[in-house]
Amino acid sequence: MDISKFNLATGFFASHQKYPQNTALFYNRQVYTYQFLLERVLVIYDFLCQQNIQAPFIGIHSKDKAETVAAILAISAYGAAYVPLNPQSPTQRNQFIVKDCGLKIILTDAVLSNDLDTLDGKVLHLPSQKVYTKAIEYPPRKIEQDIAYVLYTSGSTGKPKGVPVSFENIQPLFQYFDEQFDFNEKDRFLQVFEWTFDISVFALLTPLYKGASCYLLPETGIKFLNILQQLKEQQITVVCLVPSLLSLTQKYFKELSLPKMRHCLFAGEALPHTTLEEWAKVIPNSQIYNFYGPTEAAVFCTSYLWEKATSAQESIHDIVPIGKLLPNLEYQVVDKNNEKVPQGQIGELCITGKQVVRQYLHNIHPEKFFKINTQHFYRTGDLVQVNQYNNLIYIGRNDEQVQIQGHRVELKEIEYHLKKILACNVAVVVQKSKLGENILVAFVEGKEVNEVKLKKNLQQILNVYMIPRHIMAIKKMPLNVNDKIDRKALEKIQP
Amino acid sequence: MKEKMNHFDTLQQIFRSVFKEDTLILKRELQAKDVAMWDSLTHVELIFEIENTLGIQIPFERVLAFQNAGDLIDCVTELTQ
Repeated sequence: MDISKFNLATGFFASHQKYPQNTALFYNRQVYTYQFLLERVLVIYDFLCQQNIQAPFIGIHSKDKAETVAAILAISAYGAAYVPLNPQSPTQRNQFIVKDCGLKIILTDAVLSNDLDTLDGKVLHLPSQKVYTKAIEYPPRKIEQDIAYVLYTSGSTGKPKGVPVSFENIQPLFQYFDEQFDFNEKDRFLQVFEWTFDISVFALLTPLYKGASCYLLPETGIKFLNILQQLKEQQITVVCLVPSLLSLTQKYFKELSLPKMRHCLFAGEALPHTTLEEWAKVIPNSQIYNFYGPTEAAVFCTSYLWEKATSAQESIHDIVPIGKLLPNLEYQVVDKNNEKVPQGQIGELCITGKQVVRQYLHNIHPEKFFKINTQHFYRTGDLVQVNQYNNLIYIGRNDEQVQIQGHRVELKEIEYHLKKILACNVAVVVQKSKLGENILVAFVEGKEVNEVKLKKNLQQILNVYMIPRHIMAIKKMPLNVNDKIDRKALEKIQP
Repeated sequence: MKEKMNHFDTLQQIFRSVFKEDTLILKRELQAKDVAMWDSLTHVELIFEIENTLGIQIPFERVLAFQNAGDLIDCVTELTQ
């Protein structure tokens, strides 16, 4: 494929040509056909042209998910990269992204304009015109640059890291799903992720490239209940979920039946085999996959087709393998000295290939990327081993990064802000499991803690999933035999 | 009526304990958006806590249909009668 002609909207345009009256989006009980969505995309595209925007990156800060989708497609058709700003994130965090990314333009809906006054970029209200009055034509790119989107991940230094994913990085992923999966125009996908989470790229665009429908969750209510309700009521056929949803809902599996489900993907966290066995009874006609991938490798880079008998044999500590690499990717499992480890031994997973980004924005943390001959590798920080079937098994992290609701969280980032707010030297955050879901618990040494106030302070800086569920004062941190803080001992303390 | 009031008090105590808000006033119109800690995990905790304390099982269909605390109170009242 000629990558110069590819943008995130090209597949959508092709689907529109074939299925203009199919449902593209379903959101807040409203149907958006391909025709209707295209007209909205063209209105926004024309608006960008009228403003003569030359900026390579354009921010989106909108509570209306259908508007966000139209803006993503319009920005990409225009040739720029979209940078999602989550309206639910603290202003301070969004401000950081605006500055770090050098955003000159942010598209927003009018309702939120006041929240954006403090941001530095130029805020443009999305045009209110709903009907496109000109002849329909698929628009050409107006600016030439390589990046499709920029997402931010948690950073151990207290600052999030920008990951610029290029059109060339993301295109092979869509090609993979096109070639390996039988998704079609009758499928109904459910998109459950925030736009700042890269799995949203898959969950939104894969259906739009096939003429299928993408169902978007309502903002109000309890998220896991909304997901189950949509799966059931809308007879969803394809979904990608975070494994912790299974733990939260396991109690209701016997009362739930989703016979229309065809493909159920999991990603973002370790996937427990025994819970999956029970879930498989809820979706008797579906194939189940475990996908894995860091944002730096364009959403997914390994996949594993789950089957009850073989997966039971292959799972270690009840965790399902992450499987084999997608085409166009290669890996090495290395030790601390960057030497390849023998098959079966544990080492760090390093990935190379078209999907892998070359660097973070501003080339920060260059140590995460290295080159062997002409191949650029990314160090995932994930410890893996390869089993006898050549499937990768996820073992854990080689640092203090954890997964909360599928999001990567650097514990050091939270500790940094806790120490700064409290003006103290020792604050430690650990991950614990509650009802099968990962939660964070913070311990602060030698300081009185007003938990409510402290959480409010953290909410000004950190995303909601990064706020520790409990913050406890502790007289003295427990130490291990090496006189280091004993995190295992802290994990055992009940809040 | 007295029975209902007792459940209301019990439910309010459970809400306060799960959401860690000692001054939370349970009202029928209370929704997840009104309580800082009311998310997926605490919602599951809330249901577990109510079921264990009152010795009831809330069917999944009812859990899905809850729009606010009033729906939950009605369901609990129905299941404990």
